[in-house]
Amino acid sequence: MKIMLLLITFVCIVLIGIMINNYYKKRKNFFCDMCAFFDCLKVSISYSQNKLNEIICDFKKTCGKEFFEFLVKYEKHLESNNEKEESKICSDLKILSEKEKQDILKFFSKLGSLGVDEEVEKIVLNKNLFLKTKERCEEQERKLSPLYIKLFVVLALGVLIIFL
Amino acid sequence: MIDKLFPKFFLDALNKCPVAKINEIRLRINKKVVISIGGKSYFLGVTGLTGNIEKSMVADKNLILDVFKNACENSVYAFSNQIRNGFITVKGGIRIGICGEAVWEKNSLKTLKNISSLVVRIPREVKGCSLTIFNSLFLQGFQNTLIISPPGAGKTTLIRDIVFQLSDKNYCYNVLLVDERFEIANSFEGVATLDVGNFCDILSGVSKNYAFENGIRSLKPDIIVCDEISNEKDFNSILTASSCGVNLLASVHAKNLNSLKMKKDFEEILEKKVFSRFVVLSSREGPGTIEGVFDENMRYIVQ
Repeated sequence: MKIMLLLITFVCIVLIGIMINNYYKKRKNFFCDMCAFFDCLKVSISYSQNKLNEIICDFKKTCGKEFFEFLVKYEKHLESNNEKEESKICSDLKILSEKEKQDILKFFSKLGSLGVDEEVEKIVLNKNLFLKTKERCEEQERKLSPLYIKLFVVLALGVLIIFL
Repeated sequence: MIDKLFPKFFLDALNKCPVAKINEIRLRINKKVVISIGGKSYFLGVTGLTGNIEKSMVADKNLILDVFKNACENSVYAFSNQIRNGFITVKGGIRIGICGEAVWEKNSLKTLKNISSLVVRIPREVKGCSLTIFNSLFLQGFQNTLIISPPGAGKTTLIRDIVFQLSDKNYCYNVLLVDERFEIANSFEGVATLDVGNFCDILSGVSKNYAFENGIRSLKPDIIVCDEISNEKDFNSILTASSCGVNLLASVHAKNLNSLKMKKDFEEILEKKVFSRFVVLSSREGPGTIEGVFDENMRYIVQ
């Protein structure tokens, strides 16, 4: 019975480590996809002038789960055209800080409201802003992700040793 | 498409009207909403059409902005050129005329801001509307034809049907349709949403000048079709095409033959007898009333 409990505790502690690891990975993937989306927007708007829903539809095929879910919500928001519901686009994204949510909302709420040149200018400007966040996330993922996994495995082992 | 254009409260009111017959919806900021059916105007009330101004709806700024946003499908950049020309054409051939304040940059119009009026014009496919005059457009083959009509009298509908009938009656002419404002065939993602038959190549969203020059060279059309010739460039394109041996079907805004003759820069086209058929339209008995078909000497063929 004691061994069983200890094993469950071990697994739980390791799982916390994996969850923290995933958090950093998800953040990195989200911002990588977002920067790729900015590139896609820039090309599609300046060259073929595809409509926003077409660009989103194409990009959804290539992006990761987190950004995909965000785009699905954004698409729904565009269809419903309800400004009161605007804040809900980012509400479920627990991997983002409040400041990041606000920045994303600020950009996406006005997306598609300008002419070609102005829209491209705005995209480039925002991409640079989010590029810094992306680089920070990549750095965090590279440094902190394996660290947390190791830390929690060691912690779990420590708990095992102490109570065995 | 009309469902996606208007907010729900407006659609609810609109659905109480004979939607299938609506030609035009006019939204002017802080003014009553006006609906045009068969050439007659009505106010739009919560319960549908009304003649009572007190019970009619007012188009506020939010309504106009919502309709504009929906028409642009949240992609204003994709409609920049159209907005500069004062209209947006959406799926289904619905053309939305835009009124607002002009924004200028380096002596050219950049965009329109503070939009104050929208005129939503809903096209109708009237299959067979050209049949009464169709045969008169032929004399040893298709004759260069000009449709003369005031705005809203059905010239685009007539052009579309003539193009369709050419295909339906197996004339097998290669038709180059220059759909500058996406109104005739209303191509959406490259596919015509309105029926223009099987022998039609459609150049959408391009100027007549470009389309005539490149179309003749690359698409080898028998007939070039275009809507609303209006300026010197268009007239020159028409003259070029006619000298290349390509037949023409075009339309022009004018009340009748006399007002056509008064048009500046049009004398040369008339003098050279580029067109040998003139179809005059009016809204006298509703849009699409054919006043007559005339030959190159302006004599009645069909009255």
